[in-house]
Amino acid sequence: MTRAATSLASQPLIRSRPGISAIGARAFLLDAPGAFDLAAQRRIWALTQTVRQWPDVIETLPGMTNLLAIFKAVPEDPDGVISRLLEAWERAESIDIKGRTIDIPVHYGGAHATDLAALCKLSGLSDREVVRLHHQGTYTVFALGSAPGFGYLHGLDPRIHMPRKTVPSLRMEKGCVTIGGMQTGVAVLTGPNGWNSIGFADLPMFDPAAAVPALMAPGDIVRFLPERIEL
Amino acid sequence: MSRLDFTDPAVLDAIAAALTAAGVDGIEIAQSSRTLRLVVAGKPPRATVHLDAGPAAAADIVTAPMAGLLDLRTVPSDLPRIVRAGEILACLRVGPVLVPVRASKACTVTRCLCDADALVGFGDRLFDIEARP
Amino acid sequence: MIEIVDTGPLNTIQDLGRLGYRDIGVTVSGAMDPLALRIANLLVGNDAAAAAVELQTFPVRIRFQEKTAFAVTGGGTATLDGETLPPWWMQTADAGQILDVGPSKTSARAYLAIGGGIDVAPVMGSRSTSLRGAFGGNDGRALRKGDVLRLGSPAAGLRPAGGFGVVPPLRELASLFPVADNGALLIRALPAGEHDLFGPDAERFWNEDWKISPQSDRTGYRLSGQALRLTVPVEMRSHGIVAGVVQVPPGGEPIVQMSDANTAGGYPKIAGIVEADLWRLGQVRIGARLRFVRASHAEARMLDGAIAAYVNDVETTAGQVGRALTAMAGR
Repeated sequence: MTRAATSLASQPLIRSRPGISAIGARAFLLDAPGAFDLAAQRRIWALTQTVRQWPDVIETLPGMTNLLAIFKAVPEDPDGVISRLLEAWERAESIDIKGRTIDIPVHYGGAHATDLAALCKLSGLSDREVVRLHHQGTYTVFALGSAPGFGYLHGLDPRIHMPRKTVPSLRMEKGCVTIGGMQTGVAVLTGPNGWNSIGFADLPMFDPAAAVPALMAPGDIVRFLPERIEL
Repeated sequence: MSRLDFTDPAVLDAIAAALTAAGVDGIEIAQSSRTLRLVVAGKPPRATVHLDAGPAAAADIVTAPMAGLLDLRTVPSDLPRIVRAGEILACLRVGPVLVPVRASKACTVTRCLCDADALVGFGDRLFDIEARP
Repeated sequence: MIEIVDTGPLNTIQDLGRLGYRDIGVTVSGAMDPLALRIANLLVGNDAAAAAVELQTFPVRIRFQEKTAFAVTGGGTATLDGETLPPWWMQTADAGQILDVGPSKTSARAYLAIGGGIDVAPVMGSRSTSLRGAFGGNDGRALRKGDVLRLGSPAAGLRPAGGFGVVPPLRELASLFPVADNGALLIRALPAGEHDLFGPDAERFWNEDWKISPQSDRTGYRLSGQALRLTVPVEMRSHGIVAGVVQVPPGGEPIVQMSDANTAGGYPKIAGIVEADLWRLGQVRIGARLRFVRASHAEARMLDGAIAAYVNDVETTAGQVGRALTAMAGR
């Protein structure tokens, strides 16, 4: 979906303590310690709820077990901001957002499943098995980002994890059901895309004119319903 | 003489802005002795207004439309220069704002009567021009 | 109304951007040179954040269909019915007059503000065009020949027909926005999350000149130079990003995210440019060189303060001078 991850043979960066870094002078990124899992993400949601109340913060962007806090102005005391963020992280209780459950009908296989064969080869599973593992999963929306309304879905069976492409597909249709590393999602824009497509969903994910433009929100549960399987 | 409405706060604002830009810190008006004193702090204004520009006919000079610092950088300042009626000859700087000094008729600008960045007042002579048919 | 008689591709309606929706993946968009957009608006008596036209491909020809106050700032060379306008200038055009804007040698983008602003429907609080999302601005697309744009109601205080301008920020604030001896733009930045993982290459990042490659647009600039390598490769988790982040993809040539930046990224980031220098970067032309200079939060605050003071000064003085000139013209 994004030009997000490096495709180097790389090692995951697992921290023992939260890390805070700057992006420019007005934004601070807190990376949670530990593994990429739901527990860490729940604590990020709690941290987001706290930090977004701070009067000097203008935007909060929760990511994958991290939070970018954008301040209204360049802080006078950047070290003070770092202490406040660390303190807020320490106090953040894991919260369980009572999200909605969103069912997404999917046409697995067919013309849009451009990377299904490659995933079968990578996983050693049959196409039917890959599709079954995907639609039997229950996914949690970790965060939105990268494109309007695009939800990063966590909960993909490790047997069908598949690295993002080194060279993105130049044109992937909006609606493609994709796998990027250990995550899955539904493409919201037609265009270049580095994730791997295994199917297609018709459900609109984003309406700029709506009061709530994005269909998904962090904490929502997503299920993929096999509307049609074409192998 | 202008017929500015000095009871209009906008006009007073503009005069105040122009004076501030010119480095004037305060105005003292003593009514009985009829004196007006402009207080300028710091270095004196870089005014080099040529009051000896001679008894040239009004048609042959261009005067400042308001007070400000003469800016010769915004439009070409090489002389002599042939200009059309309405063309900008230079600007007057009031704070960060540049007010155009325009030619009232087609002419050749022959001489600039002030130094670049000099402080000029309303009506001060800025350019000698020769009218063109 | 104004009519787009002729335009290059990729000229769009922009304001200061669509803030507050990054957490649902919506790009901020907005002017590449927000300072020029704000000044253009102030010159015509608009709110500084009103929608204007960002011009980055030329020539552009516009016909005014009614008497209209307009301003052109940033780059670009403008003429009204063939008569050259000074840079960073406002004037009032009569119905039928033609504004031509061509490229300038030094700056990439020009901003055309109109008294009353460009009246397109706001989407999620902004009139900025999101080309990638295909919403906002004029039907979510770039301007085309034949487009007619509606204008908002101009603010009461009239602007003088004879026009006026401002001293451009690079002249007024010259000492704060330096250029290297070899002409490279000096751009201040703070080290970002993965800076130290680049080891000795991190120092090269600050010491060497980078060239703006042709693969540069409103989304981001790709910089040409000797590739930067991590000492140990890392796998990143996607995180929120902002314009000005300098990422290093596997190829090793840095990318600077600009106004149409993605909201999330996962490439190692070596630095983040201070916001006060982003407007200069928004005016950089392809092929230009720049060098990064390590800055502090305190320095960023000082620069923000200086820019705010300049904008404030323009707003106050333009209002006063505008009213005075109008009063004198009507005397």
